[in-house]
Amino acid sequence: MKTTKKILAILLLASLVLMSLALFSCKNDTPTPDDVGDDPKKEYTGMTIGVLSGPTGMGMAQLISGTASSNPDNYKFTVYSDPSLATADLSAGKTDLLCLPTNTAATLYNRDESLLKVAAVNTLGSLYLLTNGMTINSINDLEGLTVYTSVAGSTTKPILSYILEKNSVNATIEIAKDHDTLVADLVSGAVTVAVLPEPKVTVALTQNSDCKVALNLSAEWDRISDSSLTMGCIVVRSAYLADFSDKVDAFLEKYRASIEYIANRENTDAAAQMIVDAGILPKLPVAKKALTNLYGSIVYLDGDSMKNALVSFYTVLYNSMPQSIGSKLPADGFYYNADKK
Amino acid sequence: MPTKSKAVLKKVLFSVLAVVFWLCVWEVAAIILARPLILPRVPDVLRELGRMFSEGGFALTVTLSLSRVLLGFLLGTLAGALIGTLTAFLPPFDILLSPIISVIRATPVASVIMVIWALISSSAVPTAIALLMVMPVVAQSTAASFRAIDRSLTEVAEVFDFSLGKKIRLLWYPAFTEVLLPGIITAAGLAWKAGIAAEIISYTKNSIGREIHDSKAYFETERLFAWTLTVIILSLIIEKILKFLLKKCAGGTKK
Repeated sequence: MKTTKKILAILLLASLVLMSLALFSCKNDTPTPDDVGDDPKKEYTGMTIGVLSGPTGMGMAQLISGTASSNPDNYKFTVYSDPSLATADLSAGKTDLLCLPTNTAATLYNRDESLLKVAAVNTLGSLYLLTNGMTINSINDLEGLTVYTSVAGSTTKPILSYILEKNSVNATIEIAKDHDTLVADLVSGAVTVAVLPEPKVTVALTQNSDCKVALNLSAEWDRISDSSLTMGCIVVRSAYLADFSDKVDAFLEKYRASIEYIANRENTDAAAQMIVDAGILPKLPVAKKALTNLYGSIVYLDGDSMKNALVSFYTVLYNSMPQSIGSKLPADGFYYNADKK
Repeated sequence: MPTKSKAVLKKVLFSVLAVVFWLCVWEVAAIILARPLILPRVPDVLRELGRMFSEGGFALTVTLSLSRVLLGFLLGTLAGALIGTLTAFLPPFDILLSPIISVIRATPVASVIMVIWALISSSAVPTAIALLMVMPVVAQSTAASFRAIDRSLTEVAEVFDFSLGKKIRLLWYPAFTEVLLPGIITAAGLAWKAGIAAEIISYTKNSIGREIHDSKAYFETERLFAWTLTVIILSLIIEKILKFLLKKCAGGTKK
């Protein structure tokens, strides 16, 4: 009997102690990122840049191949196929810069404003509406149909929603499990209307010649909106930026040059080879075709032009599906090098 | 207060205190870590849980997920009982089916989900998974129950020429309630966890699994934790209900 009373007392005491600890830390709650402003002169050891396999990463290919011969600033590149692994590494400080979809960048910033800033936009629209066995000539032909998109967390659904709404078309949007399942369903005919991003578009077209590109969603977007479809960007970890902003600026200049090289039609073959060598896209013919389709979409926008493009895009997303950007518009601190007068 | 209720009250109090203790540990860890993207704070999760309750689709989503798993569980129990009985009485069946049962039981859940998804890829995947999780456990427990029937009692039944009804009541019931019913409770827990995992991987419409997948996709960590808590609480409720039913069944054979 006595021992149970003792256990009860200990448990009660422990809970009280922990609860008061929690409340006490609540009062002095200022989670600080580890090294902002404390260490004025930190040793530069290198820069880790993360790239997602896909259109957001393609612009980096020339820079990556360049480092094979000369890498004075010790750039390390990682190619991720899974966005959540990439963002986990960014959160943990293992990656310093990361190419991300723009809505993911905004969501992460809204969850933790001290984590990152967006440095440049690197991809404009790359969404296409594909059909298998159906004739779609304009947006209005989608009336009453079910359109499949992928994937949860991407901007595809709010973008499509917005385009449909502005054209007064009523269609149902279904979300598929992932890109590859949707491609397989489209190719097999289980799905007849699907919206996919490059390079999945090229993959689908090569697997079944009945699949056709019916609409270019970027063109549809431009018809109804003054803003641009800014889909990809590069973000930088705020703590890293605070320590090495000059190195980051130097990198961004090199990145701009890389993008201009990749986006140049005359360099298609070489660029495609670089993309495949870097592991950003798996096969050379797919890379070449995807590059051709993405001309005009691989860009470099920074500073005020970046901010303006992003703000107008985020506003549309916010009105269409606030969850896709983290339920609020990012504050001004999100944009690196903007509003410099 | 009579001593029995006092003891029960004490037990409940201890468990509640233990839960509070661990919640405090979580909260302190979350504050120290200061990474809401990875470990959210307890009040934020509970607030999100409250928000989810009042949202329109919560009851429907939970009911549908439960029904899918329940259907798979019932079908799996039936199939398992049938197969278990066959293997107990007919040695050729035992030789033929035992390897398959063991293989299904030993395969990692995620692998089973991938294979089933590749085969049927529809909203039936969670039900199929629940069925496959339950069937081997019930089959093996059923066969074991038959083997556990007291030999001496069987001889008594032969000597006194018991009717089938009497045999079932006095011989089979005790063995089954000792071996089979606990096996079914274990299988139910497995079916629920595996069913939710199947919903996550196959992105089933109107399911708890889809909610979990989406909250990860949108970095809504509090929501992810809240849905996971929901799954855990439901799992405990299912277990409690089944244990209660088991007690009633076992109680019914005390003759």
